[in-house]
Amino acid sequence: MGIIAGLIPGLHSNNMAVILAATPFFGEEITAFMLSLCITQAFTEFIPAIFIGAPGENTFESILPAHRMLMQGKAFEAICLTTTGALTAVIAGSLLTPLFFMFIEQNSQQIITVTPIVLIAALIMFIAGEQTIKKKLVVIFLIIAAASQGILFKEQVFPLITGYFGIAGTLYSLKEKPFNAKQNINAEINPKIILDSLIGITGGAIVSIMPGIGSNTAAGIINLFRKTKSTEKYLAMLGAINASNFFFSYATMLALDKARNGTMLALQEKIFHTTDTLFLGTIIMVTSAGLGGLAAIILAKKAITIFEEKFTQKMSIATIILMIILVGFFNGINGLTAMVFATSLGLFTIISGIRRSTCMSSLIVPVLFFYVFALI
Amino acid sequence: MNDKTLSKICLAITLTGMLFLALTYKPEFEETTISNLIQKENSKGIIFGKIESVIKTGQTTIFILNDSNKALIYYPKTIEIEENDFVKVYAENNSREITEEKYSSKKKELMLFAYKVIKE
Repeated sequence: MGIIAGLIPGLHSNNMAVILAATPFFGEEITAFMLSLCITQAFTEFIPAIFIGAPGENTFESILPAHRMLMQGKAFEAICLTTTGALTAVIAGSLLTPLFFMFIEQNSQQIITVTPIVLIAALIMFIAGEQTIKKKLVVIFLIIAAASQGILFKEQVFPLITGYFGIAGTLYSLKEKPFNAKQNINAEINPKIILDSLIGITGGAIVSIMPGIGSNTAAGIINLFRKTKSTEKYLAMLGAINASNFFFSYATMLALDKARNGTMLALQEKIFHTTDTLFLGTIIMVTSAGLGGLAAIILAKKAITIFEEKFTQKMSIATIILMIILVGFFNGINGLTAMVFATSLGLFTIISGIRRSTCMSSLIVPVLFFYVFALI
Repeated sequence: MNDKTLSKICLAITLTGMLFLALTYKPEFEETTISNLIQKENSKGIIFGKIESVIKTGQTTIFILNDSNKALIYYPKTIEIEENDFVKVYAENNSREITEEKYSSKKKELMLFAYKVIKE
């Protein structure tokens, strides 16, 4: 189920959680099912993001660097990088869980106080990152526009990210010459990226503690503070954030009795909080991580044989149609409306030569408002 | 490190996890009796029995179960059960917490908490 959920853009584990919440399953049965689903999905959801540019709620930050690798014939390597990051996160996460427990129990209030400061710093970094005054003004306009869209369409995260990061880029690429990058079916990974994966774990821990901050927001924020912007390191970090987010969300739920995402909210009602529950959940997640990693590698190789030498304009058009259908199916008319506005803003960002991660303001600003008003 | 090494690592992690699970797994609920459950605080188990009486209050259900011993059981949900029904109950003896909050100390020793009730 996790593999299927990962391969279908827009089918988030939160959707599965809603269905499961209505079933009579409970206790260990549902713990095993949900945790393995979430962790496996954390590995396989990069496949549609990388091969067809269809983003998921946790993977849209991967689209731009992965697209670069796809054009260089390194799509398989991109999957191996996110897999390495996610595996490192799950293994290190299982070892760090006791420390994480103690930390969040003692500092939960301080973390909430610091969150809006981090978010404001991220917005400032977006502006400061541009060189000319003109571009800085454009970034400010983009932040306001994206934030307005985020507030107006606050329940439409999937259509917004599909518009900003999926359709906008694919539409823009239609005017460029079709490319025919021969995809390499072997990947060589530098073991040093494990260090970046460990940085990603910090991001995952932040996401699991701070409500409203997603994996992509955390990746974007960490990336703003990093000096080296290697695509490989970034993908490994994103894989680590994504997997450790679920890993630590579970620990946070057991330690603070607070759910940080829809999946944990559904689980919270169905499980019993004991030390055994944490131990069992940890083993299940580690086991599922191994399976998820294997599935991602095997499926990525399959995807290469399907997509190889077919990266034409027709393929791009088919991808756009698929994304529109998915948004229409999962989010209806409101979602399609949000997607049109988001696509326009995404295209404007590309044409202006501004970093598209600025569009993340649509997620950051509403969360910032939430914290500011909650703290006041 | 190449993709083949990565696949081997994934396989090793999966097998180690499965082995760990097989060695350490202990079912959360095992079949037991009311008397066993009442004797040990915070113990959990699956008990079978006949319902002697039911009280439904808003969103909760309280009933007396008989499996040759009797226990008052608190279920924090509504369920369609009646007197003389046979049920399987996933219960925990955390009666102290429940009684301190909701009931008189007189009932303290006999109150069990039900996570799930299945009509047989």
